[in-house]
Amino acid sequence: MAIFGVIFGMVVAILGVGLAFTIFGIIAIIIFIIGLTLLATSFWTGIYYIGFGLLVIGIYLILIPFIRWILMLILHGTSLFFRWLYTKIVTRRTEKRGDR
Amino acid sequence: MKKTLISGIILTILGAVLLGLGILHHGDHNLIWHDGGFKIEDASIKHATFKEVHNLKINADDEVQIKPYAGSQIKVTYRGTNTLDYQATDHQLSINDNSRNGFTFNLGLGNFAPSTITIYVPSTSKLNKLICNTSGTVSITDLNFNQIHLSSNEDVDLHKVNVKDELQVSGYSDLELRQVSAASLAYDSSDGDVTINDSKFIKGSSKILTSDGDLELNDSDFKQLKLVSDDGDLNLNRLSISESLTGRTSDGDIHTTLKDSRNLAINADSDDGHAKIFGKNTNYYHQGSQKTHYSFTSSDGNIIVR
Repeated sequence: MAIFGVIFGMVVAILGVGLAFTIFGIIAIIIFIIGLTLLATSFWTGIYYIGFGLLVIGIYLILIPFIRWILMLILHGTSLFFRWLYTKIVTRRTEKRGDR
Repeated sequence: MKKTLISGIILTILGAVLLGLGILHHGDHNLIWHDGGFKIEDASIKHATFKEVHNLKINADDEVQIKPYAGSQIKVTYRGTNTLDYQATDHQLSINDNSRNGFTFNLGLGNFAPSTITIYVPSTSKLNKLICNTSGTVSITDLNFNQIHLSSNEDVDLHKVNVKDELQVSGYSDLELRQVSAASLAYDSSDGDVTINDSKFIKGSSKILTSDGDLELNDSDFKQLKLVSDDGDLNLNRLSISESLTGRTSDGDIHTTLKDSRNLAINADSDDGHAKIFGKNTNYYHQGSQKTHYSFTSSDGNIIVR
């Protein structure tokens, strides 16, 4: 039972991190757009905000392959665990029937 | 995936270069949302001067500093995004800040000081009344007043300030007084620590009430003093009390160091703790004429009188 709690916790944590990641990404895009709107009135402030937006978006793009790799690793691990669990339950039932 | 990684690296480098250029050309300004769009915050310093001011009334959301200077007129400087309204009639100067509807946005990379109203008062003058309501900190240094009423949600710090009548402070603020004198002190706070050093309140009855905060009073003089904290310790060191001192805390210890052990009576009651007066486990002590009364109560804490 405890193992299901751990898996549930992991899923919630992944969803939480994913949500925060998405929100910060959206904020970076908004900052980039704000920078574009400022270019006409205050050029260097516009550049400052565009730079910040691009920097964050760039870091996100660098992180995406790593995050994808980590997610695949977790999903693979989880599927292996359930396969192992299934095999164990089915084997035990088969052994019980054989005893009769 | 490789394309994503390469794009990411290019954007990161480009972003860092643009950000650096922006900072180099002083483009790192706060933005403020106003009239449906982002605008650059105007944080330039504005000045104003006023003649023959006796009373000061301030309503603001800013940090307020009041200090003396060598000039002959009241000088106000303001650094912030709001605009200030001044009204000077009948020797009263009213300062109100028009808080803009909106919000300030910054990336936290630049030097963003809080909005501050600084009032310079001629060092030779004595102001009659100061009323100040602000959500920022209040700091007053080296000045004389007849009356002071302060309300703040942040720290209140008074140093070398003389008040003829009662000094009144309220809000959610911490209070720090150093070398302050007034007829009496009235402090009422929902959440704040109090520190008082080398101060005098010897003409009236003083009250310090806080719902959640520690009280530390050192080397100060009071006529009558009532201290109440719902959740906090009371540390009282070398106070001169001419009539009585009542200290009560619902959850905290009381530590008192008295200047003298003569001509006084002490009551110490703790519901869930021990009481010790001059090294003895007792809750009552008296000596001589019992001119000064001390009463300490703690619902959950120890009381130690030395």
